[in-house]
Parts: sequence; C-alpha cells; structure tokens
Amino acid sequence: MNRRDFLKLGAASSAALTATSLTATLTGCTDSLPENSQWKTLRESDRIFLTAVAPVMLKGSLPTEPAAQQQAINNMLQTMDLAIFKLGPHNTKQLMDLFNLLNFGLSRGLTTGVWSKWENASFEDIDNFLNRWRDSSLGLFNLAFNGLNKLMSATWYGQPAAWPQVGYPGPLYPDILITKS
Amino acid sequence: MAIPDIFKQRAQSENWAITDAGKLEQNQTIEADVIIIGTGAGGGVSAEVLSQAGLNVVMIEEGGLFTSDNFNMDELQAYGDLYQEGAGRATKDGAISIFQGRAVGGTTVVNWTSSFRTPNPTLEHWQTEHGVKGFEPNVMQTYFEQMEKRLNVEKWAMPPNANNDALKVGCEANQWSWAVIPRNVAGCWNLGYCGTGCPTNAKQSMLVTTVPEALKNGARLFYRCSADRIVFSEHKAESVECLAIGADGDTPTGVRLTFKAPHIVLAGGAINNPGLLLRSNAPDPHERIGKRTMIHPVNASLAKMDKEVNPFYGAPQSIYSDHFQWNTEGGIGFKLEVPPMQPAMGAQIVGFHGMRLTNTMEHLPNLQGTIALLRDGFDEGSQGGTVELDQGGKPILDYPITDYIWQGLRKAHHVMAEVQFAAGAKSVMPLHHDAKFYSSLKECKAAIDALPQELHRQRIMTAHLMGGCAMGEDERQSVVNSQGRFHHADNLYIIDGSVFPTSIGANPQLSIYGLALKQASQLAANIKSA
Repeated sequence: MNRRDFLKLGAASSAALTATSLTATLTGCTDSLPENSQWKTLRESDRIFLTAVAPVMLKGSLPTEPAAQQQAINNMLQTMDLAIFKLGPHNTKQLMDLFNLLNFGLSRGLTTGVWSKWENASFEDIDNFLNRWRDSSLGLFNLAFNGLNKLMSATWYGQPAAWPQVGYPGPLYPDILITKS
Repeated sequence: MAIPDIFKQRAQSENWAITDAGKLEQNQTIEADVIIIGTGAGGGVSAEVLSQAGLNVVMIEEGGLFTSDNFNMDELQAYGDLYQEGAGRATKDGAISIFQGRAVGGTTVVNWTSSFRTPNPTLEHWQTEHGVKGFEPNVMQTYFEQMEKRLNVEKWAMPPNANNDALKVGCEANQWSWAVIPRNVAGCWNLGYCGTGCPTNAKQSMLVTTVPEALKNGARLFYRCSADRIVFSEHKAESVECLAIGADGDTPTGVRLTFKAPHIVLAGGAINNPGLLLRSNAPDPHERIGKRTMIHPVNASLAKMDKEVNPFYGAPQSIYSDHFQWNTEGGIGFKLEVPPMQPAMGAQIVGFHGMRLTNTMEHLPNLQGTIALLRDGFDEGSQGGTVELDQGGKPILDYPITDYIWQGLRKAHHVMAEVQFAAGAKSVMPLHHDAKFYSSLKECKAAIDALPQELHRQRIMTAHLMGGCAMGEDERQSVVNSQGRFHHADNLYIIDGSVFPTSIGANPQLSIYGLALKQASQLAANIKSA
C-alpha cells in the first residue's frame, strides 16, 4: 500500500486505520500479549512506542534525570494499560489498530515520517510526527493525534506525580474522605 | 471512614437483596412483577414508585456497585469505573467525546448536580411539533415539585466558586441575564468532586435515594448484569436475556440470566436503549428506533484569569445564563455554564502537547472554563444523530455537525470570549486545534471567525444524552406513546431521557425525574387496577 492509497482510504472512511492494520496483520507484523502477562492491553512494541513518545508529548513535565524519567514513564504506562482496558473492547481494538499502524515499518514511515525504529527516533522526529498529525488537513490524522494526546495527557495529569508542578494540591480532606483499600 | 457507607450499614439491617451477577456460577431465571433495566434517573425513580406500590420489582444494572467508600476523588479511578467505556465513549466518527455514567445509580452518580425543570417552551414544542400529550407545563409542575422535594433540590445558597463567579461577573458586565443553579444536594461539603462520585453522600443521586428506598421495599438488584436482548413475541416482550459481567467490569463470565415479568421497563438511557432494542430485532416498522438522538453539543473556552480560580474546588456548577437560550434570532439557542477542572479533565481538553501543554497546565489554578450547551433538535437544521450497532452489537451514535450547529458553535465562542474578558481574563482560548490564547477580545474574535469548521479540530463534547426512543402519539414518528408504552409491545415501557423528542435546553436530570415519576405512577396504577 502506498501513501496515496492510504490517504484515499483515510479520507474515505473512519475505519481506514483498521484497513492499514489489516495490512500489518497480513504481513505478520503484530504481536500479542503473552499468557499470564502483567499487562492487560499494552504489548511490548506498544510500550516501546509510548516510551519514545512520552518525553515529547509531555515535554517539560516529566522528571529530567534519566532514571527518574524512566520510572515516571513506567508508572504512567501501568496506569495507561488499565485505562485502555477500561475503554472497553471496541475502543481498545481501535487503539491497538493504531498501534499496529505505528509499529509496522512501512505504514509507520509513510504516515509519521519516522523511518527508524521508535527507540532510535530523535526528539525532533517524534515532535515532527505529532505536529504532522495534529496539523494534517486529514481529519483522520487529527483524530489519531487526539486519541494519543488525550490518553497520555489525562493519564499523566491524573497521577499525583504531576500535581505539584501544576499547583493542584490534590483532593480536599484526604485524611477524612479517602478510604484506603 | 468518617462518612457511613449506606450500602454497608443499611444493606444488612434492612436485608437488601443485592446480587453481583459476575459472581454467579450458574445460569438463572428470575421472575418478578416488573423488571427495570437500568438504575439511573429513569430506572431509579421508577423502582421507587413501583416498589412503593407493593409490586415485586427487579432492577438490572450493567455497571458495578460503587458506593461512598469507593469515591476517593480520584479522576482516573472514577473515569474507569463509573463512566461508559471508561469515559472514552465517542461518536461514530470520533469527533465528539461522550461522558455518560455506568454504575448503580447511572449518570446521577457522576453528574454535576444541576437540577432544572424542563423549560416551558420545550414542553410546548413537544405538544405542538411532536404530538406528545399530557406534558403541559401545568401538568408537569406537580411532578417537578415532588421530585425537587424528594431530592432536596434548592438553589445553591453558598457563594459560587471563583470559576462560576466569573460567569456571573462576565454576564453582568455585558448586561446579560444569569441565575443561580438549583442543586440536588443535602449537607454538601462544597468539595468539587461531583464528577468522580460524591464521597460524602451529599449528592442526592439515585445511588443514595431511590435505589435504597426500592431495596428497602423489597426490590431486588442485580448488578454487573448486562441486558443483551429482549425476547419479543407478537405485541409482547416476553423476557430479558442478560450476560453476567466479571469483576473487571467488561468481560462476560459466560453465565446467563433470564428475567421474566408481565411488565418490563427499559431505562438504560439514550444510546444503550436503542442499542438493546436494535440487538433484539424489536418491531420497528417505521424505523424510528435510535433516530433523533440529541446531545446538547458542547464547546468550551479557556481563560487565564488575573487571579486564582482553583477550578478544581467548590460546587462545580452554581451559575448559568440562558440569555442566548430562547431569543436566538434564527440560530441555535445555548446555555452557558462552567465545568469543574481537575488536572486530568483539564489536560485532556486542552489539545496541546509538549511545552504548550505544560505551560498551559502550569496555569491551572488561574484557568477558568466556560462551556456552551447547544439546544439541538428544535430546527430543520438540527435533527440529531442516529444510534446504530457496530459489528460486535455495541451501540454507536452517528451524530452529524450541521451548518446550523457550526454557526451556533462559532456564535457561542464569541459570547464565551466576551464573558471571560469582561470577567477579568488576561487571555482567552477557544478550544480548537488552530487557536491559542489571545490577549485582547478583538484579537480573539477575529481568530474565532477564522477557525476552520472541521471535525477533530473543533473540540466538541457532550454529557447529556437524550432521545432515540422518542415519545409521541403517531407511531410513524415515535417509538413510545405519551405514557411511555412501546408502540409495538403492550407490556414494554421506556422511562428515561431516551424518550425526549428534542433536547431539553437544560441539564436533563430533573426532566428525567419528573417524567419518570409521572410515567411510573401511571404504570403502577394501571397494573394495580388490572
């Protein structure tokens, strides 16, 4: 599938991402979670992608020290894994289709402009990809950007680790009103 | 725990019959006088009324049972547990985010407590344009009064939080009308976390009012019990087939429950009601099921204020303006309100990434949000959306944004910017991909006029799902009659917001309560006299 075909599909149908992921599936480029995985939705390739994107999506809000940053991203991925599961089977599949597209070399390169593997992509490459999707004249790319953006920003800012920086003191009367499980 | 959890206290002393269907190991058949599907505003009130009449009632709820001990003011936990599709529900094309509840108590567990009567022009429009009988303003007044008393609805007596006060100040400066919002709370702590489940049981949601009352009256509650299909015979709904849902809230366990009763009340809300009827191949000769689904399309404007607003604290909604609601000069009317903004909600509506996101979020204590809720369904240019089924049988709403609605969104952006600057905003940003914070009203208004009217770039949301099973006397135009009875099965009633022929023009909970009290009282009388 070339870029033009993909774009045609994209313009024609909101299900186009599914079509591309089908290509990925047919060419054997998807993986699935191993049995007994501690993860409910995110596969290893998805976690690599999200780990690469997080410092760009959340620039200025993650810890700068590398080990602390990695830890913050890992914590966020665990929260995100459950949040995706809670979206239900329909939305989870759509997200997984998007991740398939992003993890399959040809479709990743054609749609994002990032030709290297995610773990090797530069900050600039990823920033360009996010801006390209956000500013695209094709609604489908805007939609995909919105999905990734909402998921990651809500997950990050939903956690106490993000609160001091934004001046949110947390819920009121926690000692009285929060019931420890 | 400082606040007694009534589901722990009263459940034992009053011998409540509550079953987590997900824990059952064998298929079951349950019989009753009335089956009620859904425990939100419609189902909760119906359960109270019908159980008070002495009928043997069963309540079925797809969501989980979460109570005050579970409500810890934690956004992510709440979005995952208490909202449809983990708060990620959206319209078919993904362009509109849908916030709808999914738990025992339904959306009333997570709504922001605004309690308005159905406006008279809406009731009159239903009568003249949609053939609805018996919903005249003077008739409905008594039902609204009773429900206001039942749920302690009163105008918020405390000062508004700064987020709401900005709307008041901005309207006053423009000489636009505004008023205080009536809320269904008793002993409210003014926390601001209505949207994540009330931790003090102050919100008089169905979870702490009608559902407990029905349980006290002997009604049985089955939760994590998802209505899969209604079995129809000629002119009759025979039974309801349900799937037990496991503890993760999503995965069917394989156990099936069959509910049989001479009367069935459907109260799963807009989107899910039409979904169930479509899955069930319910008779629909005029193809009305799922049509005219209304959402009060919402757009929003963010302002950086000159002082702290702390939009995460305090009663989330206490001031509104209907200045642009009815006097519309041919355009769509809208209500002005404000949203609470805890960090996750704030971050995910901004639409930025990188330093623009970080810089915006660092202003969170100074951010003021204003929203416009468009009154859809009253004009040729706004016929609502259509609920259909996806390949897996999940209902999905196809909602077109028409030119008429685009014009309304733009007009609302102008009005919201005027409110915010008049209230002391240093800069204002209409929520749209191509907008930024503008530091003068003139610059902001010029930018609004230039914003492309494109889906996925304009931020659009809804928390008010209405219609899709419209009531009316003409079965070619409606799904149920004015008493809520399904046109094509004599013992199936639909009692909730899905029967509204248009949107309400106000936050819909009290409209649903009043309607449910009326319809369920009539149904109880009919059953008792039969």
